[in-house]
Amino acid sequence: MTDSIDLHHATAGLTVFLFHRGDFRHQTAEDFLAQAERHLNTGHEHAGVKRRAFKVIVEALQNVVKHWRGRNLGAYGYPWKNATVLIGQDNERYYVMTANPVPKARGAHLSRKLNALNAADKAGLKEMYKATLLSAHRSGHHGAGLGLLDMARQSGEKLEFALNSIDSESDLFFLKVNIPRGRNNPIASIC
Amino acid sequence: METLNRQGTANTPKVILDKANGIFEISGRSLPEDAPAFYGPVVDWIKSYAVDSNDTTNFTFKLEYFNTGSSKMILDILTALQKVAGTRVFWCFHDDEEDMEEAGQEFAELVNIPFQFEVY
Repeated sequence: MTDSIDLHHATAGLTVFLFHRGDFRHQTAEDFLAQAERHLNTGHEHAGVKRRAFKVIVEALQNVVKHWRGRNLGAYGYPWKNATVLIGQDNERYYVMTANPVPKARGAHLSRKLNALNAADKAGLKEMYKATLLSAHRSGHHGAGLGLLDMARQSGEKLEFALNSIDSESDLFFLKVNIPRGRNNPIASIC
Repeated sequence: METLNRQGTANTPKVILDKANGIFEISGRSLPEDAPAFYGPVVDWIKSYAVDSNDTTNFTFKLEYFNTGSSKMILDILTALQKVAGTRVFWCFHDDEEDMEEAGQEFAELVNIPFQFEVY
């Protein structure tokens, strides 16, 4: 299975308004974010929904940039060295999707983390966020999974993910975050 | 003590830490990819200020957005402020930014400083 096939299935029936595949340096992410914000501001979207979508896009992009920069890209042949970010929408939701290579150990860690996030309810995610923030503060370790936690909280839905083996050392990590557009969705009251 | 004054950009907030005029404010967007690099000097400034601070310190956060990298640094700032006697945090948010209010409440639960929430 490749990221292309995952994205093909994941994007069926929705309008893709931003797509980038390849080099994901800091400036690429900034340009992408600016375009995403312009799109979110062109419609008559509820302010809270726009804020949630924007925050998810920020965290998703910064995760991809962080992992892209840290990889030994020479170890991958095309297309695995490329990260992919896609943003789409339909009448019900915005969708933020990313695909990027990760070491297998990192992939296993992400899988455990995401399963734990998906098992938590709203209150549980809040407590996990505060505990992770405190832990990061005390340890001096930056990041520490706060990005995934924040995306889960902004979404209010389960984070969809897949790990597809690239070779003996690496997996392709695919993440899909849904942001409901309805004003009366279950998370409208929390953010 | 020298004033720390940084103009805001599209992805980094405006920062003004001015002991002489009693102005302590971080405002705007905080989305730096390398939050420790951006906020390190701010934390250092507060630690120095704590040695000989004003009688009262009203520290204002007026953030539109912040990323999770910034959230860790905001907690570092608040922790440093705990050592500044007479500190009060003013957490300001726009009336359609309920998530910012909730974020402020979460920070208030993590530190021992009085918070005042204000809508602008």
